[in-house]
Amino acid sequence: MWNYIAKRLLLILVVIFGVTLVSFSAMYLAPGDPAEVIAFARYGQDLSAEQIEAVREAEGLDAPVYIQYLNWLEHVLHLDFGKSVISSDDILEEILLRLPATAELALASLFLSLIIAIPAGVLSSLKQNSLLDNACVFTSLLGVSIPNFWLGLLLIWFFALTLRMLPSFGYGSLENLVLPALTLGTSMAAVTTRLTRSSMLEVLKQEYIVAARAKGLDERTILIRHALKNALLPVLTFAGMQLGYLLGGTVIVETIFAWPGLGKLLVDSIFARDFALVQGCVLFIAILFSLSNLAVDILYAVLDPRIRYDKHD
Amino acid sequence: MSLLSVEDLDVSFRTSRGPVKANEGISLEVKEGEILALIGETGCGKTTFGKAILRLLSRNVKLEGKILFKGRDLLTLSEKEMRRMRGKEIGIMLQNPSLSLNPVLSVGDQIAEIYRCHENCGKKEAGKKAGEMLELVGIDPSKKSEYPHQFSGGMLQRVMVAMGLALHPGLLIADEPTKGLDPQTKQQIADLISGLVRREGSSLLLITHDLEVAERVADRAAVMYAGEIVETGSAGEIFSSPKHPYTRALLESLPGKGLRAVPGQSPSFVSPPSGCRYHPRCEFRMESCPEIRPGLLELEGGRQVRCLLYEKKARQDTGQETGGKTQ
Repeated sequence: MWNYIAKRLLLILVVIFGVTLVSFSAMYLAPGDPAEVIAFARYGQDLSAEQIEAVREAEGLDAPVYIQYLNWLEHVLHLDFGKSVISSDDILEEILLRLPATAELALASLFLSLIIAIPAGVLSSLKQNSLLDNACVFTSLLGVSIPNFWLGLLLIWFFALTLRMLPSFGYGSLENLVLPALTLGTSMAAVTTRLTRSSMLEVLKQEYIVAARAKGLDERTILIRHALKNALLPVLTFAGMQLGYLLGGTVIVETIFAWPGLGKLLVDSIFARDFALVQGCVLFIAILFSLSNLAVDILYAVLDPRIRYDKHD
Repeated sequence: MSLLSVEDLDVSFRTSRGPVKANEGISLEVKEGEILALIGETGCGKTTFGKAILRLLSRNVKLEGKILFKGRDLLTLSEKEMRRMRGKEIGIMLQNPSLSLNPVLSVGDQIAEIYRCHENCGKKEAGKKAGEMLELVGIDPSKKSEYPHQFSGGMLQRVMVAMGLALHPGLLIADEPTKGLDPQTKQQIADLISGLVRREGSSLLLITHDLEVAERVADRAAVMYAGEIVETGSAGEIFSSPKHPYTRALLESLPGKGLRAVPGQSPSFVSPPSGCRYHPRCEFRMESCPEIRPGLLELEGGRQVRCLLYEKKARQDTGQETGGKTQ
């Protein structure tokens, strides 16, 4: 088990190293001159070539690209993500300031999606081809097909503008959380319902379910002990990936509801050409994503002994 | 006295091309304390028969006829009553232990849950009994917290024996318990099952395509072909003097007896051959075989055979129409 976790952690380091390379070179290859951006932020319009060159030298932007990369990497290893080239705020501080909002939205919508999807998927599979099943399949198809931005606007129109029950944007109270979480949660629930249903149908066909019945166990025990424990393994993987994706910030939903999360920070920094902030955000999001995948892998090993006792360990 | 008595059982699967009968007109008895081997090629309907007894087939399967266990017709029981039968009165070892054991539960838990369900045992007591069962089948009880994938094929089969016999059922149905094992393990498992069953005074329905195993442990044998019983009798007689051409061909396919494969392929259930189902592959085929469906003919000494050769003989002997009904 510990070998397994150690192996996963090593793999994550490799992934994160790859991410630093990609994010750094993406910003380097993007059109535009970073020195000019910084100089513009400092001195405003009417830049002279000397000013730009001075900035280039001061910021080490005249060094060869691999030196620049190594410099940046060294700082990152000391948990120094640098400063925003526009606002001069500390990048890590800025990210950590935004993280709670994103985490709150991510967890709320994931929780919402699972408490809808798992019961719906299980019921649907148990009553395959019934009216209930067809209704579930249809609704989830609808849910998968409706884009988030449209669903978000629809919810704002209905709950905020028509019923005047909930605020349409903002952050801070539970009421603010409802609409964005509903937007994200229901659309994820659609996919998860379908996955739960198909996974359950697959498991219910297995011979060990017949064997459980042959022992005289009651249907509830068979469902919970024998079927669900197996069927939820792929659902868990999927939920973990979704959590990773959500923790990276959901650009569209955060924008619609003016939610001050990581996704919005990343998009704003891209538009401002704040390359240091973009690099920091991308790296941080990649780390979050990897860690949430690690958490899933560990949970998976707890639930599935075939992984826990991998012969290669 | 017969413990299990199946009377004229039809098992049909509803398919898009209409009902397909996987078992047709099966009448078979398992007496108390007896080991009956049900033999036949893979795909002849043996497994279906075994599962049908405990009503373990899927919902789109129709069962007709009678399955009398201790005089009660299992086909008339409610699902709840049936649940009390399963495991407690009739144990079953399904084919292929690596698929029949749940990969995410320890073997001990999978045995213990039988006690928890039927005897309302606490967790501890059930675990203890599971350990005792493992010991009985020759597995170190300390291995009860291990998982199926950590066990070898022979060990898994032993776990299946422990599960099947956990509640000391009057009847154990063992479906291909020696499939996929090496010859030595095969014998060990066959001896283990028959030994335990004999010791408990239970009965065993041994479903197998392995004639050597059947010959080794069985008191009586029944031969199945294309969903029908074609011959029954004491194991000694069937293996020493087979009557039905199919049984003969099966025995000749054994390594010690010529290693001659049965010619042709087993027929499909969707469109079974007309008349006698074995006629396309039969060495002794007569003109009437494709037309007349032979009935199960009673011979001396409690033997039964489904073949026109013997109907003809019986008619000649007595000079009149007797014996098997022609359908």
